[in-house]
Amino acid sequence: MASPDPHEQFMRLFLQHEPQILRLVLVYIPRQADARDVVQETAIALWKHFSDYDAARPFGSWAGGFARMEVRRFLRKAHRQAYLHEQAVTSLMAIEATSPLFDEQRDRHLAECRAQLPLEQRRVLEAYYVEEAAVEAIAQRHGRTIEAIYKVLQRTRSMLLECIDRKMARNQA
Amino acid sequence: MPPDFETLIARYLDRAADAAEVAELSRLIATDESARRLYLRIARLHADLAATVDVAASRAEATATSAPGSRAPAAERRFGWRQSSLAWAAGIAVLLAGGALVAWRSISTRTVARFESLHDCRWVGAGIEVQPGDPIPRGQVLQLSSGTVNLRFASGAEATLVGPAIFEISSGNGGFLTLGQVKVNAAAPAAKGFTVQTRTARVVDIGTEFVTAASADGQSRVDVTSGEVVVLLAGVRSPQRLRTGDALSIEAGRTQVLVRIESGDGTAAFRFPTIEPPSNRDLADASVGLARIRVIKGTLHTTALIPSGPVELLLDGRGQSQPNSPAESVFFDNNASGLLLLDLGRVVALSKINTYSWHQSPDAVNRVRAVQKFTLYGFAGEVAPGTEGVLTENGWVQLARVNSDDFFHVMNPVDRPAQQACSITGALGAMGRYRYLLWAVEPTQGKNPQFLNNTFYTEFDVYGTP
Repeated sequence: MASPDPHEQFMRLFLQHEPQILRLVLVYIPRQADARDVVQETAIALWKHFSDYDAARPFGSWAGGFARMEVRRFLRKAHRQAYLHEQAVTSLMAIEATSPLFDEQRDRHLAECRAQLPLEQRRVLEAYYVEEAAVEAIAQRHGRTIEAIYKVLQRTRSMLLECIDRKMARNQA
Repeated sequence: MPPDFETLIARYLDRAADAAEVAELSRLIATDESARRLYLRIARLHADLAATVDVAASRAEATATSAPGSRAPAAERRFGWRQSSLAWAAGIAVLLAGGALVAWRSISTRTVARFESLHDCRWVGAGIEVQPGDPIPRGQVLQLSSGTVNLRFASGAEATLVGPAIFEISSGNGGFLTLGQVKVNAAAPAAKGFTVQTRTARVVDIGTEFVTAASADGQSRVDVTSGEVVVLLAGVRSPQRLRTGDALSIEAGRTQVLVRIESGDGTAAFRFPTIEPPSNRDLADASVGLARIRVIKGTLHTTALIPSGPVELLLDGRGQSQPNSPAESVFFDNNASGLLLLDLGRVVALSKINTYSWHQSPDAVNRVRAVQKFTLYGFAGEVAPGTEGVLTENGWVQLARVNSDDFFHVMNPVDRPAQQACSITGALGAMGRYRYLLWAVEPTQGKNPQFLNNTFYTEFDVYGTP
């Protein structure tokens, strides 16, 4: 039987794991455009080293190592004042690397919790995360101040975390 | 932890924090474990929200747009919206368990293309059904694992996407190719100007038919089947014009290295459409006396019947005098890879490297010895790095990859041009400063043991400024 085309094999694995990689990067680099650039660099690094990949190992954790390296590389080059400093990132990675970021059950709870949000909070969240609209534009759209929109985002995230915690606790009960 | 620590985290995640706040957040995270755990808890949610879209909203949008590829059960679908970044990730769907084929870059209901026909298609993601005639709105990203899809754009242009591929339909007359190969026929009058964008180039049709390919690491390639196209590169004012039979590849990276391969007139004059003939006026020519070339891995073919000429022939400023002239050619053993190291004797700002090959078997059943297949590396230091293991890890800089069979779409051995020239240049001028050049030469695709399958190289020319 012909061995699988490594290009196709890589593409399948990468596409399957790209959301996990993006999430990992976003933890350190919250600006989505920058995070995607880092994911792009990660893809290139992974492809370059794909011949070294041991298919017996989970692709996600192998790719995670490269993503963390690319995060560090980006942060070294990036405008340092805008992003977490290296020591902080190192100490975060020590914890993050040992706890999976991808959890189907948690994702389901998140979707349910989002659906339960009051309409205005849901709209602000959609505008911010889905449309990636600027906070200024969202403020204008909702007739609120910029600071008020920041507060809405912070409050909404807190509500979602509490909601997810409740659902996870119910599952464990 | 200070009482407003959560606000500090939120300001960082929302890019509202100033330098002092980022420094304070960094200090707290570095010194306090509970601060680290709280940060990760909130940042992880931020990442979840940024990387995924809730199913209910997506379902409503998918229903509104009657999108192709959205026929998987709604509960299994998730879509991601992405901003208009041209980066790799922008073209990749947010795929969760039971993920979907399609990512929407923007919310649009306007149909700008349709599926014409599908052949043995496997899509990335389960449960995807697409039928001929299904509409494709602007911004849809097609992720094809294998098979072939024919598309018709609103302009009348026809495109064939060959899997594996990721292709975004960005307008009624163009798309963004992240990965794979797309063949475009833009013969319809309104299709003039059809554009395929890749990470490294923008290919604009001004004729009829061309093929664009993009690899996972950002290399792009354009082959013109008929007519003419213009290739625009970031930061480069003058476009590259390609005509029927021309091909160009563009490496990712700051210097945007271009590889152009042309078929010669099959005479000892080595005439090519735009690439100059072998020269004795280049920096690597033996007459200049500074450059040295040697084989550092593999062995040249030295059997009594058809011995290769010495490697120094590559710097003698001349091509072969006839189509099958082993003594005037340099070639490795059958099926063997090899390394050729050129020391220019000094650091040079490289502007162009040309390589030439010519071979035509008298019975014309194989031309595997004209194909050029190599990767070129450079190094600027005084002493050339080692060549064991991965070359780039030893310090070599990869400059270009060449496979002229790809350029000429060779299906049968006799389709290969018997005389070929490859020209490697920097789109922005110099490719960088290097003293050493290393050719990692590969055997070509011939499998018949009767025939030598290594290229009959005749000349390497290097241009630049010392």
